Amino acid sequence: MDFSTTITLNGLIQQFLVGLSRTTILFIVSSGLSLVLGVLRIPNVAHGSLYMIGAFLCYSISTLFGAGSTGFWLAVILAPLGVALISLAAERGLFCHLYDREHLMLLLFTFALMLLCRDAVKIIWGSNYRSLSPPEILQGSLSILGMPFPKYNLFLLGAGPVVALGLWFLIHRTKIGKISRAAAVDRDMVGAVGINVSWVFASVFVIGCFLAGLGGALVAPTQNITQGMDHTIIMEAFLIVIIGGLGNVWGALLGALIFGLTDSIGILVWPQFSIVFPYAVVVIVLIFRPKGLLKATW
Amino acid sequence: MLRIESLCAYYRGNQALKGVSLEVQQGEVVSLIGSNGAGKTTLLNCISGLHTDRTGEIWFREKDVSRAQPHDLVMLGLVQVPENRQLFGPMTVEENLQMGAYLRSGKMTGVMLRKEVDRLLERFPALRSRRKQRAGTLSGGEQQMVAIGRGLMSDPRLLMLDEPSLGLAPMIVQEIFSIIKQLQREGCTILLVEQNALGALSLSDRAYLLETGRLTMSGQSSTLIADKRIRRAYLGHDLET
Ligand SMILES: Nc1ncnc2c1ncn2[C@@H]1O[C@H](COP(=O)(O)OP(=O)(O)OP(=O)(O)O)[C@@H](O)[C@H]1O
Ligand SMILES: [Mg+2]
Repeated sequence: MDFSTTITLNGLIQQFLVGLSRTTILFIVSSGLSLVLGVLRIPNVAHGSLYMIGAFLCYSISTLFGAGSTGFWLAVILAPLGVALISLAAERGLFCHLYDREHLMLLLFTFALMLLCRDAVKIIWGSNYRSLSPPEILQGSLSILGMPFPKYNLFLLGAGPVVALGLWFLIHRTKIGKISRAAAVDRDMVGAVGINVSWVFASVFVIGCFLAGLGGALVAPTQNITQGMDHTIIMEAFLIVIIGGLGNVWGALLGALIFGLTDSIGILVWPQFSIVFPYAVVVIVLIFRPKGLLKATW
Repeated sequence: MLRIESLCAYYRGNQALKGVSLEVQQGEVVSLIGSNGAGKTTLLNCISGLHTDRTGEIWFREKDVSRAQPHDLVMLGLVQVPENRQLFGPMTVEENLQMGAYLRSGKMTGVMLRKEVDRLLERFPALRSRRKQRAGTLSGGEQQMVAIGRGLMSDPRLLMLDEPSLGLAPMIVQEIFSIIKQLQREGCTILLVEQNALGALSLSDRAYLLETGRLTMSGQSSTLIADKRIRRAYLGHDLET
């Protein structure tokens, strides 16, 4: 076990960048989960399924338009919108009747939805995995410090801050954002100042699910699109939301950074046990800050 | 303006209001006094649609609003400033005030909204320098002002204040009461719930006394203030006085 010689500074930086691009996906997905949890108080286990559907939709739309660059960009926009549409139907048809139920009930309900989504995906796309190549300008690698670094991951590195900025603007500068923050603090009072909470909840739910779909669409070219991708991501997303602080969107950013980086650096340090690192960090964070790093309201 | 007929309210089978009927006319300040647990907050929550386990009729501006949702009632102009203020703590004073105006903001631009906040802050000089401060970090008195301000932002026809003096130092209580007096002079219709019976009775036109879920006395505030039983039980006077 002589790993000190195998770690070079360049290798470390490269793993760091890989970790950051993974963080982008984790952040996008878990910020959506966190939003829904914080404002609607729904622990949406089916969030990961929407991510999976986003990835499959991205694949199908992009092949429909000839699998070229235009197809891909169209798919990255349309797939999350498709997921948003599905979630709108779910909210108006199902969730809006359940807001007053206790958490356990909601948990079971979304769990059932997750199973339904999985079967639906199996029926629509079959059980084979799919793969999608990135658009032409993002294919291949660039050399960073003498090490090859995939262009698509660089693109993800750029996409993360853009989404974070967009979310910041939405939450702090728009009416719906301010109302959502208020609803996370005191839902009844939002009704009592004359705001129809029901449409606020619908919009927040749709925005949160859109983010799941966006994460799925963006991740599609980097990995195989498979049946099982829903439960890996939902585990990770829940852990991120928990260490970041339940319901805090910026906590999701912090959690995603911690989770993504320890994951990728761990691979470098101790490849056989790399999977342990992010979970170990979660445990350590929770020992010192049982309620997560940031406060639940923001 | 507001009329309530034999209102009963329940908490899991426990009856908190036992047939309450009362009325508030346009331009009046009516106070509702009573000790802890009499059901004052419950009554306000019933009126504003927050407490739904109830029977009886509620009429507001000639409409039967017994089944109306809280936000619909605010649209009609019925606004409650809750006990304990219930501000949106992590948000700034300005954002809290804006929340009160969002129901009208369909017709309002951002600039108009800011002007509206400016206009409101003229009323509360103490808040002027605290626009960007988080509401949760304000003093109790300042929080109460923001809570009243948030209520006023939705341009109410009837303002229901639930114990605005709760937990405040005597000097601050005076300040809050003078704000209420100012609103009264401007012609606001107010339903004021208070445990501070003397303060409430000395500024209101009429008053009701609520005891364990029943209205046991009502009339002109000046009459109630002179009443022996009220003086003994609620104004802290001894038998001799
Ligand atoms: N959420 C609740 N669940 C069960 N019982 C409640 C609830 N809220 C109030 N009650 C009961 O209803 C009765 C009336 O309470 P309410 O809060 O309306 O009194 P109040 O007159 O506002 O008192 P205070 O002056 O202390 O605010 C009390 O007996 C109280 O215990
Ligand atoms: Mg009360």
